[in-house]
Amino acid sequence: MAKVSKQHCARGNVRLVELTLQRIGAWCGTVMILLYGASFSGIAQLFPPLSPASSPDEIAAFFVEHKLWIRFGVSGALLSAVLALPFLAALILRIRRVEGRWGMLSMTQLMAATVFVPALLFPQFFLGVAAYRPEERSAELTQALNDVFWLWFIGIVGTIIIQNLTLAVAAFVDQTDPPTFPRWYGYLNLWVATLSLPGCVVVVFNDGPLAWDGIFAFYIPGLVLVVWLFSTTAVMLKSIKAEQRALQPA
Amino acid sequence: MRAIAAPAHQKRIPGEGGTWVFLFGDMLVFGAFFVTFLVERSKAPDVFDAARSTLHIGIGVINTLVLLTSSLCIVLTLNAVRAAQRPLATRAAAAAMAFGLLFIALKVYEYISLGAAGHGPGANDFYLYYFILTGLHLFHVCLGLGALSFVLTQTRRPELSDTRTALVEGAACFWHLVDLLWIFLFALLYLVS
Amino acid sequence: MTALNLLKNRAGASWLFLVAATIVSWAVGAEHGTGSLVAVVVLGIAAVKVRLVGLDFMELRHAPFALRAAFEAYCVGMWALLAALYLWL
Repeated sequence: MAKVSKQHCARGNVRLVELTLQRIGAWCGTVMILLYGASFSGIAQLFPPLSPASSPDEIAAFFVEHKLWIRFGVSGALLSAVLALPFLAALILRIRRVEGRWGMLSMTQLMAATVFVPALLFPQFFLGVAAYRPEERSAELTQALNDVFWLWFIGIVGTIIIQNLTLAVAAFVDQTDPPTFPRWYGYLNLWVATLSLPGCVVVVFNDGPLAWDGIFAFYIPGLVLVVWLFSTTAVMLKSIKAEQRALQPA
Repeated sequence: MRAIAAPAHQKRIPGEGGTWVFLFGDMLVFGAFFVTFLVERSKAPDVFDAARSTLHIGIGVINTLVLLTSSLCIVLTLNAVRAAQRPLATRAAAAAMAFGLLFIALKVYEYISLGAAGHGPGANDFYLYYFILTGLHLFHVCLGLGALSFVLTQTRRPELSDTRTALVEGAACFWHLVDLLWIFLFALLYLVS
Repeated sequence: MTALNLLKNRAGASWLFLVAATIVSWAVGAEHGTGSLVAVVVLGIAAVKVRLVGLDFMELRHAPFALRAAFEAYCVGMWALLAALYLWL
């Protein structure tokens, strides 16, 4: 008798530890975007974005003038981006909870997540290179590196949309007890997906509202992404807490 | 057979709570787009007015009436479902979709004729915003048609659970949202500039 | 019950009003130049139309107060904001 209840207790503890780790993961999403945003916008001063319509000399001048700050900002972004890893892991595990095992939703989410963090990381290297020795090279090269950063950074928005769609489906089919995702979260994800869509055409436009500094392709998708991150953290925390409470012996 | 009770003047949320997260979110963001349009307009009001006059305002009016009638058909659909009049509901939903397709056809015609006359999205800022705003709206119309086809399939069911009812009402509200956004767009793009 | 019976309610009446309002705003707003008060009127008619779509098509007339109030605030707010931007920018 004692052995069985000890095993049961041990399993329960492992589960509780796992859930605590998931909670930390959930928080990481919000912390990540705050730090990443601060590094990118505050330190590197890349908000508002550089205009794709600027001349090579203007771009090069910006990099020469701000090169140290940009490089510090890039380092901060590279470090903070990795916080998205535990966040996405927790998100995938919550979806798995809805499915009961590894299935289409959790696996699709996993695939989308594996692109998301590299997409936050790798473009930053181009920014770093652009700011590494900007006064020793031609302005066109600096501009080209800057172009790569922006088009990559925003262009991967399609993978975020897939994440939103899998989460929406998960929220609507959720039958777990206590629930993993509230229904309104499904609608929120649909809203984020719809509004992120214009980001896909940044490679088409050099200027205007659909360019990488435009309202439709940058500001709105950026805003809804931040809203999504904060909401996802909140939704995950609430459901994890409920699950932990349900696990505690009555 | 359990017919859905007609909303007898007791407070209820059309659809479900989450539906309105989406609807208000869309309304607010489109509001931001309207603001952006007017800000751009203020930089070149004469250009915008001149460009506006090249639009086919008659088609704009017809399209507005098309969407209004389509919305009315959906109201009829929901009322028919609640009154357990399934064949009527199905026909009304189909009519709503037909009107939606008519909207798309008219819009495409407008796009083509504007493009052929040299007033494509690259011509000036007015046309750029015109095509982007109506294009994004057109995307919503297409999504809405998907939602309406869902409503159509649900009208064939003998009874709807609470969840399905919420989804049907939500889909209907999304179509009304498409109608509502067009009302503002028509006023801004065709009349106000 | 025929289709007509199911429409002899607010929604049907609203539709008639909406169609009329569309024609009126077209007549009023088609030619008015830039920077005129006519635009404010046209935007106002649009706001009224949007309100009716929400209240009678989306059935917000029978919705909880908070939801309906938020929607009405949107209609009024949009009209005020857009009119202000039109007149004073």
